[in-house]
Amino acid sequence: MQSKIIFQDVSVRYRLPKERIRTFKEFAIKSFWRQVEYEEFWVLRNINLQIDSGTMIGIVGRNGAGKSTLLKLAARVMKPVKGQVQVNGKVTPLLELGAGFDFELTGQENIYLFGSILGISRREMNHRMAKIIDFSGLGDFVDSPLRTFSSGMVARLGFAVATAVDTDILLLDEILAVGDAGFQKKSLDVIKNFHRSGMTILFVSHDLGQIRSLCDQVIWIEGGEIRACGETPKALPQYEAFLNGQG
Amino acid sequence: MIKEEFLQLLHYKDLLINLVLRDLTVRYKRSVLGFAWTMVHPLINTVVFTVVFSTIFRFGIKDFVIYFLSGYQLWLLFSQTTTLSSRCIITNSQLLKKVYLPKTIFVFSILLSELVNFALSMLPLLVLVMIIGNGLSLALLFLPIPLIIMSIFTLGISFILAAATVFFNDIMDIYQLLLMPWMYLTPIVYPLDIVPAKFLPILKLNPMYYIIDCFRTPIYLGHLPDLMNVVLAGLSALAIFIVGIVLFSKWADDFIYYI
Repeated sequence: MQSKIIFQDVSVRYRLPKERIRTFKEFAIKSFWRQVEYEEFWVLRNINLQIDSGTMIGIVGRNGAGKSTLLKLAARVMKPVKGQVQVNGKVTPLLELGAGFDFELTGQENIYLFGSILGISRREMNHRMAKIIDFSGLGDFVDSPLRTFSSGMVARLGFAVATAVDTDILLLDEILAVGDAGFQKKSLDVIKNFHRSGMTILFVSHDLGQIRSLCDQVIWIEGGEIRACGETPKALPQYEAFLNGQG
Repeated sequence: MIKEEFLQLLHYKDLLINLVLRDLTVRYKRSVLGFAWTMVHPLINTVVFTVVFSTIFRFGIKDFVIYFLSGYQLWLLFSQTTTLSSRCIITNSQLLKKVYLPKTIFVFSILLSELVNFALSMLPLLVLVMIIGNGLSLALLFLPIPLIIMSIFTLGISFILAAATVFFNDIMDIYQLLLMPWMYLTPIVYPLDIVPAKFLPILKLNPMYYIIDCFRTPIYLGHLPDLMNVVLAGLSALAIFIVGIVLFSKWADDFIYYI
């Protein structure tokens, strides 16, 4: 089976000034007096990873463990300081509420805009328009400006567009917590269908119940390193034991 | 690196179109006057500058309105595009944290929508040229050349600002402070012949001087600009563009740590 995502010895370092210097004036003065001190910390250290095609993989770990950085690397938003990230296929991240939308534009205009952010042409979007409008349940609101929408409607629209895209790899970052219970179930069903149809899915979540029921494999990251990686029934309990041990 | 950015830009051309359409619809949708707004701003400025410089200071420029507008409109295209561009990476940070996009696309989209506004604001000027100016001459066909040169120059400055603002918030404010003296160092509101001869060399260090001259001459005087000025305008624009795109791509990978 072909590997969709390969991390080879990947390390990411944040190099930030100790005090956050946000103005050029400050920077100019301080670098003149050589007062700028940097703090370095490695968010990810020597990560080796291979995610096979069609796998749904859950990424767990405490806050700040490096989960989101891992997704950023997979999304090509960030480049590693060391090592190599190889991604074979089209990656689509599921964005959080409202990112990529313009609240002055109508629902339909936003569908085109958001589609093009995900790299889909207007023509392709036209084919999917009916399906998206139907799935998001917007009805007559498609021609109203987004600012008149409820936050639930915005979330539904975002989900509907992102999942209407033909993609190979889907990135989910705590995204299934939006909308009412009905929509959550509907979106879970969509994710399950994708999984069944052979899409590769990376799923970051703190909801271990969801991870257990959805994911084939689990990666547990702690302090920038992989602590466990493998089939869900094997890897997930290790993380749960660790959490319990922490009290 | 730079080549890849442009290939990606081509791939995301629909996004570019949508961003421009968004800018234009959002700007015009919620205003009663609609597209007329684009013309109101230069109109008010024209009245003010005409009263101050033509009536009070008595520069005695023939057809002051045409002289002024032919330079000022192009200056506005530059100053507005660069000002908006300086914020563009910050404004879109939520998106750039999650989705891969060619980052220069925001600068290009701002320039394109400002060019649409510019084209609209040129209409009243052309009417003025027909009524009180030289009338429509063949020299006007030359105008796309200085417009392209100005666009290239504007892109270069925009790239530098957009990248620098990611690291330092106050770049925007510093730039706003510089814009005002820069405009007055360029012969836009005053005629060149009131400038004392010893200051002329300083004035001519300013690329904007050549670009404005290339654009103004066909409109105001009805003939082609000096070839030397066209060459100098083009070369300085190209140089700034290259500096801008090189700096931007050099820093672009680090944006993610700061946005």
